Amino acid sequence: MSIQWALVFFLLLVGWGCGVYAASVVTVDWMGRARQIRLVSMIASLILLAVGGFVSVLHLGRPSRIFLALSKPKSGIFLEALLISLLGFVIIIYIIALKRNASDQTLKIIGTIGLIPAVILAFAIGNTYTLASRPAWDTILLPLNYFVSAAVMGTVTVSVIAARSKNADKSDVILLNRAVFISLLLQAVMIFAYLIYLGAAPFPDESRSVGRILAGDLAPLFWAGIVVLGLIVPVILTAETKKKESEFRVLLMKVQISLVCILAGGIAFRVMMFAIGTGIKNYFNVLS
Amino acid sequence: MTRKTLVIDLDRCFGCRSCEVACKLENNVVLGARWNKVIDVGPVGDYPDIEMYFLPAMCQQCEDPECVKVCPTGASYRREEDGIILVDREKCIGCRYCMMACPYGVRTFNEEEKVVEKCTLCAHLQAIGEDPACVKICPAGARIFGDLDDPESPASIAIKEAGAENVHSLPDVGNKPTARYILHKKTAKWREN
Repeated sequence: MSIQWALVFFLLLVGWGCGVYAASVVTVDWMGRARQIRLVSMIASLILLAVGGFVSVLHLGRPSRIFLALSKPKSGIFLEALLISLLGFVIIIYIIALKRNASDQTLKIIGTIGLIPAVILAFAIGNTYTLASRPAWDTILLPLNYFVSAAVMGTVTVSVIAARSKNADKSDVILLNRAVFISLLLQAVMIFAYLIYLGAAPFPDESRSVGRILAGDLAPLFWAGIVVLGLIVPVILTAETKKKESEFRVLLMKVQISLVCILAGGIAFRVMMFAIGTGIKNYFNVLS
Repeated sequence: MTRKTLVIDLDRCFGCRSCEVACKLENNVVLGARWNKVIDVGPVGDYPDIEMYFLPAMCQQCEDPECVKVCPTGASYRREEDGIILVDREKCIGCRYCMMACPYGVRTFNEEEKVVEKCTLCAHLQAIGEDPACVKICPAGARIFGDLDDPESPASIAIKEAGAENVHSLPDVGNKPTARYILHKKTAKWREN
């Protein structure tokens, strides 16, 4: 299937926005760490969600009629639009409360409420593509991969924000890097599980085979983009740091490089998804 | 219930593609798009045991259509009175989600009008009591139009006469395609792929 670039960036940006929001709430409001990142991470999350939502509109043939998409509540697109709006609304409330010096408890309550749409949305954006017509997508492992990807992108971004903030605490960054490291390992497991699914998926075809991914035309994208950039490099960079030995600027550099690599890996995974998303039959050679 | 659909006799189809041309002319299908396409299946085997057949592919008028389920605006719908799947062009926002959901890739995107289109079984001709253009033009009489739920319809009669073992349909992933293909083993073996 041809790469739907607008949807690639929609999936990346919205997942990223959810991840940043959730990682920020868990780190700051639940664990009481790195309080100085609240405003920046919330604004970053809001911008990512807004830009992601806008990018998805670019995919439409008739963007001027976008509001017609709100006429069928059972559709995946309606659910995504609803969740983005809900999460955006909660973020705005959070920012207002923060600016009005609301108590930590109030912010924790607001932040926790927002976790509900954030968690569902991170899963739903992938779940929209679980279509019986596209055997490579018709598995819960696809939305689970997007869910874990959101966690990886979110934690590494919050780690960068924490490392670059005023009064940055090295122990906060080390803690966040540990979360990035663990979520990356989880991501590796999910990608491996997805490959196993592809090997056993119904209606086998070369266009969506494991062979195409591991040794065919998608191999450079998979090995260089998803495995090396998306997993191995950030795993090495966020691996356990000895507190005494590591200088803070080295830590900052490592986490910033990790962010860039993880985003590159995230794009590579989404591109691969569209590349292998061929239909059971494609008689008209459409979206091919 | 009514399930109007096409039954195509592959024993008769000889791949002239008149149906493709008639469809494009009747429905003014834009350049680069199609609502109906004849696929060459084969040839398969070694000389002199070679076989092939022609498979006209178009919307399968599914009973439980995925394209209708995923459409965010309700533009894709199943008409209650005859079970035909149609697209309301005024409601279509061109998201192409229905094209992803179709298991057969038989929907097309009109790049000029930015809407998704597909075979309508010439609903406008049916409205004046005529058969679809592809059925009318087929020189081999291979395309048969009718209601599967009416035992007296030409489609039901053709299926009954062919016998269950010679009547095939495209892979079903829960969408329940209603279009049927008649192919006897003496012509060729039905190939899922």
